Amino acid sequence: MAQQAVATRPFTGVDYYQLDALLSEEERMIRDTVREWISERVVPIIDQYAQEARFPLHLIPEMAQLGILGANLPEEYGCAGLNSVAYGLIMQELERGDSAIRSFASVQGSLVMYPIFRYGSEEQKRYWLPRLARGEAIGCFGLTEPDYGSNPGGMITRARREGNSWVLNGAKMWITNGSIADVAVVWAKDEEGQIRGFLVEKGTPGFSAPEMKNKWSLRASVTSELIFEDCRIPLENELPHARGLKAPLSCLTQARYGIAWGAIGAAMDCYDVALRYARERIQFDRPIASFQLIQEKLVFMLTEITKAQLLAWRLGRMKDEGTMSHTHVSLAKRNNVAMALEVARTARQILGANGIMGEYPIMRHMMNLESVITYEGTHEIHTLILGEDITGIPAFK
Amino acid sequence: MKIAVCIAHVPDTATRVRIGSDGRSIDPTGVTYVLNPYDEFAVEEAIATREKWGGEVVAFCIGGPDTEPTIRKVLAMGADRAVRIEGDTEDTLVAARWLAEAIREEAPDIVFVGKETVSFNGAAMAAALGELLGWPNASIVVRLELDGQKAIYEREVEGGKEVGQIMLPCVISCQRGLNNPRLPKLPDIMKAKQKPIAVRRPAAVEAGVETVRLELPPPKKGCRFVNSAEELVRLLHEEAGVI
Repeated sequence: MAQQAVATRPFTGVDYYQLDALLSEEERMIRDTVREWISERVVPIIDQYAQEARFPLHLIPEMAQLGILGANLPEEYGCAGLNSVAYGLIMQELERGDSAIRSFASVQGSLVMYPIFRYGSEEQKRYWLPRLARGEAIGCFGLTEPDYGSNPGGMITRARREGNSWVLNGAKMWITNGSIADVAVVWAKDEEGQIRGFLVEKGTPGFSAPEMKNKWSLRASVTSELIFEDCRIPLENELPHARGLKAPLSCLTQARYGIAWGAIGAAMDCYDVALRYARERIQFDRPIASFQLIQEKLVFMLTEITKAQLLAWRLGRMKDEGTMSHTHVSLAKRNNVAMALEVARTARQILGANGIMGEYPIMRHMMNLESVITYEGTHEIHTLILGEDITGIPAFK
Repeated sequence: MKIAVCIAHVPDTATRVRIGSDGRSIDPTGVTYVLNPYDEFAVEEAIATREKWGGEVVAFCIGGPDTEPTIRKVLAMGADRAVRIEGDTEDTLVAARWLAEAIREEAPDIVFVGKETVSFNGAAMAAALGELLGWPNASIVVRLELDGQKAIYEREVEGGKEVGQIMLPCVISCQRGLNNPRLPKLPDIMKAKQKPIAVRRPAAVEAGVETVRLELPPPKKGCRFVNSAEELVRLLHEEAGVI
């Protein structure tokens, strides 16, 4: 019965400030299409996948078919060619389903397809982008290392030139999609200490990607280590136009942009569930929604979601106008993920004991967001990026 | 093969409907409008038919410019073009006359409609269109096989199913189970913007039916928990008076 209740769970998006009026007809239709897909295909199954710590692989062809993967990249490479706001709305809806689904799409689109598009050779683009868009190939992004998270410039992974090959040695950690990926975008330092990007294909001798098990967060997502032991790849597998740390950081800006939107989706789901629950749950002979303390919580959630929506919308328009900087993304990612986590925790309180059950999405979102607030630039690092931007003084070096 | 599909722009069934100040129309404030759910089966069947037999799908919709998002959705799903009939009527026969007039000009081989609209539960369109066009119709169809000149259909009848043969051109009303309506692909949503929507002013037709008053169903009474079967029986007898 519980599964049945989850399967048919209704959802109403939050639009208290009539932000729909700021979206084009196409942007709204794209959002509604992905929303419908999430309701039909993800919501009924995601709790089970999260409980069993499995990624729903069967959804990849469906996402590809809809045009979700790398949706903001050009049509000439087999992508949908959507604008940034439409891309953001897609991320919002995916994360309403689960951060794992959004993470998969973020990594595939922003961290694999984007670097190939931006830094790859024409041949690499023509070979990989259509395959990745069709979901026939899955990608992952290897930057973070066991000892270098917030400080990726200190990375230990090395690339050595040997004849017609690059030879990679080192290890990456916390890599979404790692064990299921057909191609890894890997960042390593050359012998001069310059950071370069490489495409490493699954099955290359010396490359392995063991899955990291026993997570309490992003349970429906595959997280892996990438290990390189004298892993030899052809010279043409280097991304020819990527040099220095700014190349991987530019990819992270894309992914963080999607996260700023995605977090709103998780928060909207928590708010929607909490509002319905508060109206129906009777205590002291009245719905708990009639109590001032509960109303305050609901109003807090609504207000924070509305503010986050305005940030994301403006960020998207700036991105399309070419006036967005990475510090704008930091502000939105930092605010919106912290907002979503707070909303999830507040929703959990409204649902009381029921809030911890898999029948409701709250605890799953909450645990997911504990990762989202840390990955793609921790909350603290985004604080310091903004701190440096407004004071001119870097506090993390 | 030329395929026509008739679509309606209706309030989402999840929306909370309020009656307007005139007492006989829906207050559109805050109401989300969608493609009539049964029309989704009609649109899917139209597109799938074109994919199999080639040709063109033309969608027909009665309504003002506010119906265009719904029409665009159908174009995004795969219809080639649309005709919007500028008008507003509660009379199925008037709507059928307007649609028949527009459809006749296009001379399609087959017309698909949803089995009913969820707004006013109208379910006579296939029969009315068939009559006005002089074509056979089959309603509440759950399976259809075309072979160019004719079609074999399966339709729901009380307690069973009926299989029949129908000559083209014809009108088919589509029921859940006929197919699985596709979601539009995201790039096709962008392309739908380029597809033409012709606007047509219909001939004046006098309505034979008029809504006098709309009423909401009475509010649901609260739920009561009772402690024993004896108590339940007593309440059903003494208070509810049903046993």
